[in-house]
Amino acid sequence: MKPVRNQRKEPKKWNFTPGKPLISQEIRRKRGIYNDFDWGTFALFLLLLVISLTVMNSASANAIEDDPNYYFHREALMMAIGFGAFIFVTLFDYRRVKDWTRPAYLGICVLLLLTLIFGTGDGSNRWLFGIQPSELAKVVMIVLFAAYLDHNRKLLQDPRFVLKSMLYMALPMGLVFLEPDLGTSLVFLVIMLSMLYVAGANRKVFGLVIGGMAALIIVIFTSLYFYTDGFTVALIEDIPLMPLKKYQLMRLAIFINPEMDALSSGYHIIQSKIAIGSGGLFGKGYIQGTQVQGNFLPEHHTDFIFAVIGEELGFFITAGILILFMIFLLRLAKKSFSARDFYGTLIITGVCTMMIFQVFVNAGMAMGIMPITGLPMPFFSYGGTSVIVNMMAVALVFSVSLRGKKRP
Amino acid sequence: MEQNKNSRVSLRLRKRTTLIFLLFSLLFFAVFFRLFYLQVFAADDLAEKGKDQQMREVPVEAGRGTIYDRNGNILAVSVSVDSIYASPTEIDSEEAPDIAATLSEILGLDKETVLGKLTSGRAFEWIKRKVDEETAFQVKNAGLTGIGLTTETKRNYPNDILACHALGFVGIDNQGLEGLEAMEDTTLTGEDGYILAQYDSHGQEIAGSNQTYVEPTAGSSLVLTIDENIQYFCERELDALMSGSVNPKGATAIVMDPDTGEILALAVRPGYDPNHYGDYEAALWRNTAVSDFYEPGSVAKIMTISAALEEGVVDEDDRFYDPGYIMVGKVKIRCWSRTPHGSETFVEVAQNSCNPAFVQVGQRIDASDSRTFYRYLKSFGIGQLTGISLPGESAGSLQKLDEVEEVNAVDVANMYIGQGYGLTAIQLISAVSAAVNGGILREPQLVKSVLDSDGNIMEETGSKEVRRVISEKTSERVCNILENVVANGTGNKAYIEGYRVGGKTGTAQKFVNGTYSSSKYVASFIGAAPMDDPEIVCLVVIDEPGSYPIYGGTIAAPVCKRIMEDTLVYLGVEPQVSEADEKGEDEEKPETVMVPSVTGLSAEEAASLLEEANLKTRVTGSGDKVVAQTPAVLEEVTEGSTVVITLGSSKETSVILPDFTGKRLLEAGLIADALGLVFVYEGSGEAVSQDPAAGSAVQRGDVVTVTFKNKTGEEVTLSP
Repeated sequence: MKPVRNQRKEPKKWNFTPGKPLISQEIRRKRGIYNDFDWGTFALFLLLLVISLTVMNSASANAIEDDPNYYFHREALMMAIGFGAFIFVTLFDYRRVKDWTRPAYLGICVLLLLTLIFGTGDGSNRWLFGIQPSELAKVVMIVLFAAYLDHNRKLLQDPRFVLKSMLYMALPMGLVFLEPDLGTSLVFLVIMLSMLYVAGANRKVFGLVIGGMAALIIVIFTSLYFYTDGFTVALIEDIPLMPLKKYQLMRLAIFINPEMDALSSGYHIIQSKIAIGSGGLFGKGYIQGTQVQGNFLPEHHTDFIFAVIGEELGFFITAGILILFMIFLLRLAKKSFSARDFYGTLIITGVCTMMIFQVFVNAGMAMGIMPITGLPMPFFSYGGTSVIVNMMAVALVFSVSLRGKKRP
Repeated sequence: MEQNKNSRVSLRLRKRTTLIFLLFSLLFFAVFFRLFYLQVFAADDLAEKGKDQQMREVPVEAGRGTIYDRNGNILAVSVSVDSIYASPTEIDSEEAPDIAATLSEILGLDKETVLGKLTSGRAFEWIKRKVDEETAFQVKNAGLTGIGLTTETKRNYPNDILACHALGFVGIDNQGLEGLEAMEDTTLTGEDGYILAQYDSHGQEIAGSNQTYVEPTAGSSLVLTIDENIQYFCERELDALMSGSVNPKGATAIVMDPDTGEILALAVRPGYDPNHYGDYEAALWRNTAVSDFYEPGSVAKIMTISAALEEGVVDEDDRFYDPGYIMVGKVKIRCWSRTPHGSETFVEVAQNSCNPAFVQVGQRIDASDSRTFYRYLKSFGIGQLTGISLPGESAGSLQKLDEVEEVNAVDVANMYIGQGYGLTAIQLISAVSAAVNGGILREPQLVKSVLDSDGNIMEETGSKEVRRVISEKTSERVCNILENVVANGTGNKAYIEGYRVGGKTGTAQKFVNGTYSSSKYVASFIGAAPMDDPEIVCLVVIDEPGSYPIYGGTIAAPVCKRIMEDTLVYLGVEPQVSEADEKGEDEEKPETVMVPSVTGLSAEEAASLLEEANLKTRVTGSGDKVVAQTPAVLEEVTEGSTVVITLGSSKETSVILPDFTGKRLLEAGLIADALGLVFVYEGSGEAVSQDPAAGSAVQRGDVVTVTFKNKTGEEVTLSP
């Protein structure tokens, strides 16, 4: 299938007149674009970014003593870069990736391997030359996995292929897990499973994998139950034969009872709940959150940014932001219906499930209904790579959408 | 067909896509409801938790009310002092040892203890509370991080020991621990204020955060019924008593206004300084005047007199016969006096404090109902709490006769003479006040009024009448009899020239470990003046006098006299001429004095001592010391009589010890005194042994120990 035809009749000249398409006919032709740009969703996106910068300005205020605007400025800079990436990816024809899958897969695996060896970070090897390769890998792997599944679409009912495809994802995921970065590797898992499901992979294999994971979770929590005396005493050492480290296990354990280790692993979750709860209906006011501004809640500019929102802005605005996020993500997800190809549908599925998962697991984590896994909230949590990569991921959806069928 | 297949595939794809996003939307709902729960339902709880860790409350102590005496003199007042605290969360663990070293040096505390507090990780720790100005200044100047000063109040008792048992004291947190401070704690305590400020996780005060200052509410002040001056008279006398030759274990003096029940003075010895109460044994904090009961002995015969007159079973002129003892059932109750009083009128019975006659009087009271006198005792408030505003009041011990089937005759016979039951000093003075004030028992008052923090009277206590015990007429007659006891009887040492003084002596054996102690006594005297309308009643109780003599009339009456004399003058009570004087010269009784012991003294010392006692001195013999005196020690002689003292050289001071066996305590004491020996006694009853033995030669001033023993089946009652 070759995208050549342009079914639409458009004015020849590109101009700024409202209601007229922004992208010129020439570019459209060159870039394989058939569809209008979805200004509505884009506006929502911009709104979210503005809100996120506003929140970051507050989160930044007391995070670093000497430079109250440090994170705010960095985040704004990253967003600016992100916009460049956004435009680039939007205009880039996603289908052309198909020609580069092998080198891209190899490249990302090598990058992750290098990170594993040379990476830096606080108790883990996550950063390489100032970027977080695992973040990049997430988005790249969505595209690669979509291409892989699209390419082998006929084999999807073959259990062996499904297992093989899982291995395809498992390699980068495993490297991320070893950094160690439990949260991001979980995201890989979620992306993989949702894409496989939407692709219509063999149900039996699928069920088997889900069952296996459920069993693993049960095993982990059961052994935690015994090793922590019914979730009352903090772990003293690793649990034998368990693939997770002590601190990772403790994060899971305090999900059950944060008070068991209130000053260490459980500290964040307790402080975060206090912050959000004490915000009440109307919040304590912008940059007025006593919990976050008093640094009772460390990391409030990254993993616990949601607590800043909850504490300072209160229930109405926080719920509003969540709803806004949900509408935005569902609008993105809806674009999968109009994707021109199976490949595009899978990309949108991967991107949207990743984002929804991260947004709500992050929020849930800050409120104590999800285990603390160190997942950033897309666009809101501070993190250069994360911001740029997430903007690229949204751009991917736009890229697919622009080249899709006419929107229903 | 191809189109169909494609659309079917796409339909399934859409179904799955929809499904997966529906599934993921569940996450949204979970998060949304959780948010709703946290920010709507749990908001208050969580906000509270947040405040707990962010808000630091620095207390601002409320001023405690002042305690004034009845004339507005300050007895207890709170003054501002500095206390030093640490905010350990602000202190670097590296700096902590230096800070601890500096602090421990300035404050004189253990360095390790201070360091432990500095590194406790808590928000607030007291380092040292209530330090003096200079220390506070040094700490302030040291400029230590995380160390702060706050103003607290410290209780100050400007008169130190004065009225300590009435006042009590407060603990480090200004909580009343003893005395009025404890009893009126809620009145005196205000409501603490505080400064509430927000702090971040590093303990830095959040600039511009809301700071709340809640002003403390000062406590109310108390105006006591106590008069600082009268209190001083009492304590001065008790101090002299305690350090003097009597050397008792303890002593109590209470002065009461019988018309209102107001306590003008309440002194207990040994005392303590409430400013430094921690330096004293806790036993000394105890206000024995209200918390300890004792057997009163003859002083309580005032109630027997009152009951007998009220019941109309005796008249002042009724005659009684005292053979020296009285048999009650199989028990012989002896009189205190070795020589029987013989025939005597009721007034003389009171003057002599004659036990057998008082038993006869009591038996008349109880003739028709064996519980009549008991009911009088109860009516006088014996066996019940007086309700005085002091902690730990005892109700005394009074056998509940209305609950026993048959009244034991010996039990009640003992009650007639003030034995066999226990009362507190405060009960006794209340009861006697009732007997002399016209017959009304009143609640003893210690608090006159309560003032608010601006000094306005909030509450006036006022006199509280409990009940009428005897008629006004009876009370008047009781007064007359008591006046006679002082004027002509055992209470003569309480006589104050120019005033009509009444009173009653008492000496009782202490009941220890289920038996009457043979060596422990309580000597007491209760006096009242002026007897036509008593304005003060004064009780002096001497617990376990440490040396002979032990009689209330001998050791307690003079103390009471001096207190009353000063008090009457201080209160501006006009001196009167006694009734006896008014009656004319024919009935004039010369003043009698007791001859003091001068043996062993130099001639000059002896002469001055005798002169003090209004006696003349005639010296015979030669030598550097008095070896004998005539009349003997404690003998009563008319004022102005001459005492012959015989001098001898130190070498001639040895005497041959007589045999004390078979002699009673008083007699033995007189003999020993006459010989210039220090008399130490053990037990009571008749002398059974002595040390050194009879016939041995001893030096004047040596100790002779005589042991006394009761004869079996004999109730021994000492009493004047």
